Amino acid sequence: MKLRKLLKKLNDYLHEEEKQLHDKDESLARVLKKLKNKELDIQHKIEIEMDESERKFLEQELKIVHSQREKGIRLLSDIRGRSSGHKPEEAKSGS
Amino acid sequence: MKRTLGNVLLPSILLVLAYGFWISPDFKAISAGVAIFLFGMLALEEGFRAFTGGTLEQILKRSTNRLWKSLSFGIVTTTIMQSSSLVSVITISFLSAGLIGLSEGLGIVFGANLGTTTGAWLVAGFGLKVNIAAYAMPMLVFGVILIFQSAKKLKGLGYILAGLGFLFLGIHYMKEGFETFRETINLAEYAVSGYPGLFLFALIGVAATVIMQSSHATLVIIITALAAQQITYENALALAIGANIGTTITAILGALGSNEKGRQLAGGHLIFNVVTGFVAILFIHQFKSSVDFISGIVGIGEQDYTLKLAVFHTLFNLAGILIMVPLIGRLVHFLEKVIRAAPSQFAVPAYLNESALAFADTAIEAVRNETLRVYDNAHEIIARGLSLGRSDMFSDIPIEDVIKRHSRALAFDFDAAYERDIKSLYGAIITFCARVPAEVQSSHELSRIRTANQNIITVLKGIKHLQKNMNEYINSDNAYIRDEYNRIRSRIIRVIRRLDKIGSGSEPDVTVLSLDALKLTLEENAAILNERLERLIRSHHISADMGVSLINDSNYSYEIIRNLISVSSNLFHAGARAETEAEHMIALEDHEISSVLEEKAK
Repeated sequence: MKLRKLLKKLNDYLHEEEKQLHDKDESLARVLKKLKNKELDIQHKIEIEMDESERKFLEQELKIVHSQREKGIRLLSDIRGRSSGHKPEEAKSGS
Repeated sequence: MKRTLGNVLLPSILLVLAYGFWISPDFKAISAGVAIFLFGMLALEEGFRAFTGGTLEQILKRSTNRLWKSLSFGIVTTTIMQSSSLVSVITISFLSAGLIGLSEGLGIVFGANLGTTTGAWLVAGFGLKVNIAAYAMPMLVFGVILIFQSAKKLKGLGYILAGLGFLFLGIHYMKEGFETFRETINLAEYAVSGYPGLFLFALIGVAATVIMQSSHATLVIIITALAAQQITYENALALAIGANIGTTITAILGALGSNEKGRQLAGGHLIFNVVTGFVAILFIHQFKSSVDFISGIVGIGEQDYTLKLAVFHTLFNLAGILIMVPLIGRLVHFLEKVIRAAPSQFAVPAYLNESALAFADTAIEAVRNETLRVYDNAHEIIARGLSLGRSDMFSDIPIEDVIKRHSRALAFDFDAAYERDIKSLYGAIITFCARVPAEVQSSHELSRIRTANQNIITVLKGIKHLQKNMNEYINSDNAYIRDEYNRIRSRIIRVIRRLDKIGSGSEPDVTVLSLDALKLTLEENAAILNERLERLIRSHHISADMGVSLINDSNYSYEIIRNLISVSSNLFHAGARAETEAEHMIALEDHEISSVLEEKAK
């Protein structure tokens, strides 16, 4: 068990850049997941909102969240493209 | 409670003074004298402040860095100026300006007590009287001319000269006012023998000197009364002791307008003179014999009471120095304990300490927490600057109602609030950031917090600029301009409320990214405002001047909002550091937000 841990540490050390990319990949994917939930949440709010100005604001927000997701997906595909262990198509999983 | 008392006290004092001036011209002269004297003290302090950190400081430090030096400094300057009161008040202003420390100041004052006795020698021995007060008027004239000069040192010198001139002028008015009381002092009425007589005459000496503002004048009365045999020799000595204590009144008056350091010195001066006086009264017989002995040696005649008084004056002040000098350290400790500095008016950092510097994480967290404090204080200033209450600004009350509730401009001293609640903390944050280890300094996190601080300052600057016109126009009769300025207020409140919700976590959890929607609203509003503004000017609902103010102030408001969003973006962080970084990567740039706006317009 200890030896395996030691080997993992050595592996991380030798492939530091890869590890960083992997961490970025993970955190971007997590944020994208949150954004997807947020988008659904806003869509639901728009459906039930009665106040015109508030609905406008929510629609604006929806557009922004959508643009953020697009940007996030682009960034994620870039990272996955650079990472040797992943293929660019996998980025689609975040959307 | 304290505020209410202050509100009542000041008008009461003014009323009592006004009534006093009405019924007594003498009282008016005395009060004017005190006022001019205190003004002189302020001018003197201002003048010495111009020389801090330079030559005067070095000279003073070098000439007072040892006890014997500060004592000699006091003796020599008082001998030259012939006024211990003047030397004490100048020392108080040195101390208040931070040029010297308390123990050095006490050394000078002790020395001044001995130096002043040379006056008695000059008067008694040579009939010579140095009257520096004659220079008061020229000092005032030269001083005021120099005050108008732009060079800092010349201006400082001008303040010193004018300060001295005002001091003398003040003393002159006080003397004038008390002139009527002088004739009522008939020493023969109080002749009492033994120790009660000594204490009584010492008290009379104190009163006479306080009234006449000069121990020299009291000495002249004593000598006259002694020559006319109205009082005994012993009583005359007691009067001289009293005069020595009474002379401290000038220093006490001088310390009234000074900070705690000045008051500590005046306290020390009083303690020295009272202790010396008590010792002199208790050992009066021993002093008397010593005076006779010394007089015999130096050849002073048996009946030459004038010179004998001079000997006595010198002797008991010397005794005072011998007694008090070894106790100077304890005296300093005592004075610092009894007369304390008022609690600092400025905000003090709560998180920036040495231990926080030990690790990168603690250092960053300390800076973040301190910045959050600055931000919190800034909210108060923003609310007041917008003529609102802070609680209303953050409440759930509809913004229109909040604006209606605060429809009139509030009097608010922006600069004082900034000095008190922001500047010192911001300064401490900058200093702390410069001390954190190099690798932390270059981190994204610290640079974001630093930017957040700059954003806060920009927000406050914007509020300051906005405040001037806003206060004028929200009180305006022109409903159009009033509405526009109230719109600016609502816009800022709306953003602050939204940011507060995002920051407090009551919104879905992508804090940094939630700010982009606000940025979009901001861009959109700017476009709408420009259209409306043009319409208002074209239809002459607002004047061109109002239009210019509105354009400028709208720009300030956008600057404020942009920076408020930026503060939040730089200070908020998602649960994990990596996620915060990811959010910052995804956050839209200005041009990306603009393209969303364009897309929407299509």
